[in-house]
Amino acid sequence: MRRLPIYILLDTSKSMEGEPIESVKVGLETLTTTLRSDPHALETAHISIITFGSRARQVVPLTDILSFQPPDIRAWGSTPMGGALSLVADRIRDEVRKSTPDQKADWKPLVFLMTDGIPTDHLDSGVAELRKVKTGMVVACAAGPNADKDLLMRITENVVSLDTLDNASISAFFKWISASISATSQKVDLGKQDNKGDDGATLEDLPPPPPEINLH
Amino acid sequence: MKTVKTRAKTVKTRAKTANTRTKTVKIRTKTANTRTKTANTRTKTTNTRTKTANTRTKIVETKTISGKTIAFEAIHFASGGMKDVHYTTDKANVVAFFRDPVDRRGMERLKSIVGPYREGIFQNDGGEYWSELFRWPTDIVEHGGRVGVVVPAYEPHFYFKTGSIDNDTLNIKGKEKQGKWFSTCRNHNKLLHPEERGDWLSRIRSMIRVSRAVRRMHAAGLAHSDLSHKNVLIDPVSAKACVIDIDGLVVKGKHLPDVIGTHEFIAPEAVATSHLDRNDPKRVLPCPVTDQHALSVMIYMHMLLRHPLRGGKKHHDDPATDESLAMGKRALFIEHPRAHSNRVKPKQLRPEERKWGDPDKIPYTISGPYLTPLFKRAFVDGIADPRARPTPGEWELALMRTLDMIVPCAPGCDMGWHVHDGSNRPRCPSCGHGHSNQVPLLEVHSKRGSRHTPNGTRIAVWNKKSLFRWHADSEFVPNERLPVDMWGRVGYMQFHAGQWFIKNLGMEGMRNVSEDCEIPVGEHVFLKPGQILLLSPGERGHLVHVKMTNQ
Repeated sequence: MRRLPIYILLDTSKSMEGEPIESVKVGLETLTTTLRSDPHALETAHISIITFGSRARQVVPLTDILSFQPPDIRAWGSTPMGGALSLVADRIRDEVRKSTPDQKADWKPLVFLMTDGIPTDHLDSGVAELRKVKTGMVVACAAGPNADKDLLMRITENVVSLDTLDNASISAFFKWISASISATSQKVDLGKQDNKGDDGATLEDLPPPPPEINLH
Repeated sequence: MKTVKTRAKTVKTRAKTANTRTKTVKIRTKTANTRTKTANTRTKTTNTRTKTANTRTKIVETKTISGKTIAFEAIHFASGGMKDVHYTTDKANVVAFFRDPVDRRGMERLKSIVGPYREGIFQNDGGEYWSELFRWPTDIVEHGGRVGVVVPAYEPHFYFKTGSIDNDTLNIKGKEKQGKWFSTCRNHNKLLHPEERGDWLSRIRSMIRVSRAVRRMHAAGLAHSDLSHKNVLIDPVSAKACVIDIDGLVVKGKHLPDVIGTHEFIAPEAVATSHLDRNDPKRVLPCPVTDQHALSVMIYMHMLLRHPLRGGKKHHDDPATDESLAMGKRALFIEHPRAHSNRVKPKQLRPEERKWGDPDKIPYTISGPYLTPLFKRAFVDGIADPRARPTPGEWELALMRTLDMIVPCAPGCDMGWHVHDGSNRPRCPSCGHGHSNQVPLLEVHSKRGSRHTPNGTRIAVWNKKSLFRWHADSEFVPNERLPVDMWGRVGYMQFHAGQWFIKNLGMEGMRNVSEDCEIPVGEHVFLKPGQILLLSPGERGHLVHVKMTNQ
């Protein structure tokens, strides 16, 4: 069975402390619950969580929805976003199955990134690393007033934003990720993933986002 | 709420006072509330928006195009691929609003669906019979710049009662029973609670209903155009099925399809030509023949828990290209008798797929002598030649005949029932169990001219199996045309003190031909090998020859 890999990159820098980080945790729980009740996602979706606060770390390796447990995360340190992008490129290279004479390739991975600030490391080297691997759609979310949407456009043209960093906005974002994964896992189940990569698939291929999420 | 436009009258009412007719609805509301609660306590902040939404439900009141007043909840409870679905206040119906605008042609189609097409099916002979096989739109609503259809709400048995294993670890209690839950090894055999799974008998019965529903649509010249796991609800527990999402009907030369279908179910010729413009004469769009492919795939998946075209063959390094070749231009049956390149590779299977996912262990031929040739026509001949595909009516008949050929298996067997292969030592292909007692088979003969000759059907006998009018006489067929008072049993079979007998409860003129005597209603006859019994003396009455197996 072809798997649909999903990488979720979360900013866990100091500024996320309090309501934002708690909302992210609840968001991950909602995501888990939603996808576990979706018979299409249960068949194909696999999730990995990468956090970036003080340093980029893969807190959950690529895991089947059924065994996936939302990780305990803490807000701490700076915003090494470039490091997180290099790390996800490295993990994709390692974890996503390629086509061999004996094996069908996995679907191209979906990547979701959420940040409330601006990178404290070298973003462009991370972007360059990410370009070296094949991905499906990459979505970056600028959460709250201090995130820089234009900077995120350097990672992907699929940038969304949240006006505020409160529970309502963050939970809306996670619900939308869940809906996007459900829709994609159903489509890939059906073989219609728009696998043109970053420069082909657009946000219009995902379910319409709730009012809390702005498109750019 | 932004969704409520000024034209309509809005009233606030407490959600609790809303008349909740079905249990499932209550369950759903409860879950929604608890979830929000958790979110709130965890984050310490109160999310006022959500709270308002949960404790108070705004109601929209408006008129349908037929002039009826309709009141529905302003907030949708579900969102499908194309529609947002709202409950009416009495929960008997839903209003499903299309998110995209509906153009003039689309509106014409909807009007035909709620009008003449609906009347054609529901207001003819046996019309009432169809109401549980379809959720057919009854009316149209235009509100807030959007167009919606009024559809009867799903019956309660189409929502999970027990849900998944380990005290519903997946939290699916109260959710819709989509076909996908029952048609993959992982979902069905590993994750669903055993109480939700049903058995092979109930799977055959629910597939009879799906076939019958599609047969009826096709008879009216309508193609569903998107038969899939999402658009057919299945309840293996009560053996029911219901075709939903009937708003995209295709009528040749009149209503064109909006969607190409759902990929696992799209006919190979439609996949292979999907890159062409929709006006290109070579482009294949949904029509009754593509419905026939979808129906065949659905029956295969429900009976065998795997997809007929998803095998080990790799066509391309790019996953999307590979997939569309596998479902389209290079589609090949994984159990093709001669071309073996798409056979399943057992080492690619997950642990829970190793039995049902492997056709070497459970070949499609376990489906018996009536279904096997239809699967062959659908996936060996019908891939390249759509005309070879079985019609829904053929599936319905073959499934009904198969229903009479299955026998119960040992407790704990994951099929529960299996087709009696006609041999002297029938065994279950899944658990390998045989039978401890004799198993009689009744070979059915029909009159041709003045003589009775075998009509190709057999009735496998098991304890307390009922005999119905259609077993005794071809005059009767168990479908929408059979009057309600003709559905009762007219006899049953029982094993008692080492012997099998048939009890006659209502077969007038039943005779034991071997001993030339009548078997009056209320009497019974012991079954002996080679015995000949006449079940009905009518022109289309059946004669059965008794064969004892497992001697």
